Amino acid sequence: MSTPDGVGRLSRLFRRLLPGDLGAEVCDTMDRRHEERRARHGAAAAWVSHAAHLLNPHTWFLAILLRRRQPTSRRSLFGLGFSWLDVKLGLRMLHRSPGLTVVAVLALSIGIPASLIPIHGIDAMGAPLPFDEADRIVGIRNRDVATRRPDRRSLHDFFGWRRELTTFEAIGAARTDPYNVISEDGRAAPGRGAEMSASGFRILRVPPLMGRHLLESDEVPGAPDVVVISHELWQSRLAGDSDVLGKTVEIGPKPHEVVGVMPEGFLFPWRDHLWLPLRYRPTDFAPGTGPDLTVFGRLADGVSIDDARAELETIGARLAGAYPATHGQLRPQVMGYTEMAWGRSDGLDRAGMYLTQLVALALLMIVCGNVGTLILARTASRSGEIAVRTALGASRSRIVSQLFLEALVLALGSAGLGLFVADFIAARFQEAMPLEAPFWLDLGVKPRTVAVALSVAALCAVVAGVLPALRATGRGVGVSLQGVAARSGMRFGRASTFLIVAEVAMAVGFLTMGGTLTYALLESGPVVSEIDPDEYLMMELSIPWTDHGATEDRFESMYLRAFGAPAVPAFRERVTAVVTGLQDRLSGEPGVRGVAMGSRLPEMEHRGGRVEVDGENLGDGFEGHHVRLATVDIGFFDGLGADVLVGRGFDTRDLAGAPGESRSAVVVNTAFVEHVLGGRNPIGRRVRYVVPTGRDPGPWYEIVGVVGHLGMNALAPARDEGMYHPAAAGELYPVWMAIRLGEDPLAFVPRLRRIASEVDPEAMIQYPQVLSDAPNIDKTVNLYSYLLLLFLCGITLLLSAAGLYALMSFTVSQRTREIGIRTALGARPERILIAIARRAFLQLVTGIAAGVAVGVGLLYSLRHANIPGPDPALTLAACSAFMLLVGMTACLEPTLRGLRIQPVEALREG
Amino acid sequence: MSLGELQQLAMLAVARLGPGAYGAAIQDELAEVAGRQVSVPTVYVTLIRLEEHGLVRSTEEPPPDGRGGRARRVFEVTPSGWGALHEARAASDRMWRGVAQP
Repeated sequence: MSTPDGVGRLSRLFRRLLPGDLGAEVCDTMDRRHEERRARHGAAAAWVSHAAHLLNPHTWFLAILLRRRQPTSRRSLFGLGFSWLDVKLGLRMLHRSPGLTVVAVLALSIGIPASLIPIHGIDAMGAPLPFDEADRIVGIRNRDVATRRPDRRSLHDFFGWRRELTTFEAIGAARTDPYNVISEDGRAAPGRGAEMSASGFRILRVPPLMGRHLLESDEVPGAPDVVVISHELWQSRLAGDSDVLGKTVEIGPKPHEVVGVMPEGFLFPWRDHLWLPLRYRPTDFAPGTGPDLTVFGRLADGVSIDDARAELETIGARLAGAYPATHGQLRPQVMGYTEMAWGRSDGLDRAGMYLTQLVALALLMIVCGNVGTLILARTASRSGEIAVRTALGASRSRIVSQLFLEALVLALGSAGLGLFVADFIAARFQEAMPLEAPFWLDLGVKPRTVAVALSVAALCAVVAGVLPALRATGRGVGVSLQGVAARSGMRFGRASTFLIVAEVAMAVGFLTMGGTLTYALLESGPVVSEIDPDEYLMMELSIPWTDHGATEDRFESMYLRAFGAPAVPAFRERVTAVVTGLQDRLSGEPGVRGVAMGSRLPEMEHRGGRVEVDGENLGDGFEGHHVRLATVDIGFFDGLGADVLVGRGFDTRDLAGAPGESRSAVVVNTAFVEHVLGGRNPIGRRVRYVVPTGRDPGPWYEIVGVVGHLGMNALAPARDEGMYHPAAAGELYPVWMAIRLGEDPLAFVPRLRRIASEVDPEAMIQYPQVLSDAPNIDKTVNLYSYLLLLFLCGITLLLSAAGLYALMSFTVSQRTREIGIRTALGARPERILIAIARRAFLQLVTGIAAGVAVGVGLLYSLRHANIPGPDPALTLAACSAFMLLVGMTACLEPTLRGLRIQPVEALREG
Repeated sequence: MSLGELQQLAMLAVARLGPGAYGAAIQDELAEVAGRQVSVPTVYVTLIRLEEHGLVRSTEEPPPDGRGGRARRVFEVTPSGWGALHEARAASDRMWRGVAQP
């Protein structure tokens, strides 16, 4: 029935709303009534009357009744206009195109979870504490606007805030440190603990499992030494003793009475296992000094975080005015506790992470677009089916819905598979993280991540399903009916062209990066460190901070800023005593072949810096050579058993003067000589750190010796150009020690702990392990990033190849008749080949050209990060050639199919 | 079940129309005889609800001219529908009995 356009749209809407034969009958009747009204009252009045049906509740009630009458298999899914039959059909189509299904599932099951890493990270890191009304628990701290860093020496402020702030129910503070817990048998083991104010427990609202919390009365100087312990500590060190309350535990040199046990999982403020009273008084410290504190509070009822912020800012401004020397540069901040705990200057960098999220989603959309291209190509082969369904009365929206549903089934299935794998990988990753993560961090997949993933999957289905479907059903469907499967009138449009080009470019880019990193890894393979890391026991030696003032070093010189050193003389003396005492004891120990101490040990990730060589003039843009750095004791190389290849190692004369400027001797390694000095004689040559323009250049250091590779770069051991500075015992803190033992180094750990506790009951042996298992978060992150990159590389390659294959198949199926006629007219095969493959080849070449541009940028950044690689031009040429080969291979089968077309067959189809 | 007014009128229209009782005709009958202007969806909602309660039943009738057009659903009153109609009428009569307009 012909209706004016506006009414036609209304009628179509009613037909969608009212399903089934009876629905169609209702719609026919409504259309007829409309025609009658139009004849009698005019088009406008008739249209208004027709449209009024939309407002009639009976229309909607009828829609529900009619849907209820639909057979189960045809019933709509979630009111979206799909039926279970559509789902079954979708699954069947996926089964019938296994190649497409595998490629698409691979792409989406990696692409969807990978694209959600940023938002998942934000959620996991900023997750609220697992406590009652945790969103009311906030962190408070000062930020130094000059250094842009948090200043946590807030003892005075803590007491001031506690006294003055009215927007908080309570304010607490904690200071964490490792403690030696010595059990009755004399065994010492370190445990992270916190001195925490009694108010802290009230803020957290977690009742003790046994006994009590810490009380204000415990904080009074001279009060009995008490401790509250974690469930884990109670189980592991005290064997879950049910009579533990009232017993004493030695923490460092002092016995403490256990007054409470907290429930399992309570490890506030980070991952702490024991809580001691916080006994610092502001009178003992000048303002702006004292221990580093984590201050936190619970917002009062009815108070928002903005109210608290406003009140705190007022107090901050008053203090800044009253005490410009100590508070002039400090600005108090309030933020969610878990955000603050990560220690960034502004809490979690949400803006940056959300931006990364957007970029990740944009990349995912390219992947989806490519899957869409494949679906479009397959849809082309179904143009006959679509034409028949259209002729039988299926509306365009019905067909688009069906194609969307097929893509949705694919995307949801892939997202589910991807999330399952991602959850598994996240668990492994969390286990592999060498540093202690905060107790609330759970990298596992959360309901919100699942919800976001499903939404993203739906978005993918729109991009990969609806856009091709709209294109496939847009024009020429009627033409298709003439020759059912011959032609559809569909075209690969600009979007598809762009996607294929983008995918090829990305593939070349990823290939370049993946190839270079693989080269770096392979090249590093044969590089044997001078030492065998399996022979060494490594550990961190630390001593609790006890009334020595701030531990944070504030030296301005590059030398000390890079490595840190105990800034407080009393503490330095203590470290010296422990280190030398331990060295003496170990040197007389049977089985110990050497002891080395440093800010870093071989196999650990070393910090980097940029240096220049005296007499070298490499122009204004020269940013310096990137080298790895370590500060080591003078017996470091001997202790490791590493030979000094040229010149000499460190000795006592190198320690003359204060640490820093006056000590000029440095030892470099062979990679330094090769890559920084270009193989020139290093001895006597001078180097210094490159500083930003306008600042005083630091002192020159003189190279006195050369050692071999000692594992300063975990990712690329061959490119570990590095430099060692000398330090006296006591100038390094925390101290990493490597003890050369030979076979089974771990067996020495109990003996080592005993020796350490004999030297100083508070000396702690932390993270003891074989040197080859060095804690190395960068190594772990690098490994996972590398694997992800390899996956992305594979997927983009696969997708670009599949995209080209689809394009070629599509071209051949579209031009069957033309090819047949050309063949009949005697066209030579090569001309036909050009006709078929020209477009795919052009896209391939354009993509490769764009990819080379991307690759140049990536290679530059890799070079900048000092990651070695083969010759850049060679890398790009090889990657381009490989991509060309893959692309051509993908085009081969459809091209051959095109060349085999027989004129008779083609004409029959036409 | 007790019948609503519209339900009663719709069943009577079905009964009056006999074999020609399909949606549009019922709507016309309601308008012309009972003076009730009801929308097409309202007519069908009423008929479907009646059918769900077993008071009318419907069969699909081929298109009247044998080609083109669409099959349409023709309604008839079931025995229990007749029972409900009689009961409604009797109740109404009983109520009217003894009623005198002042």
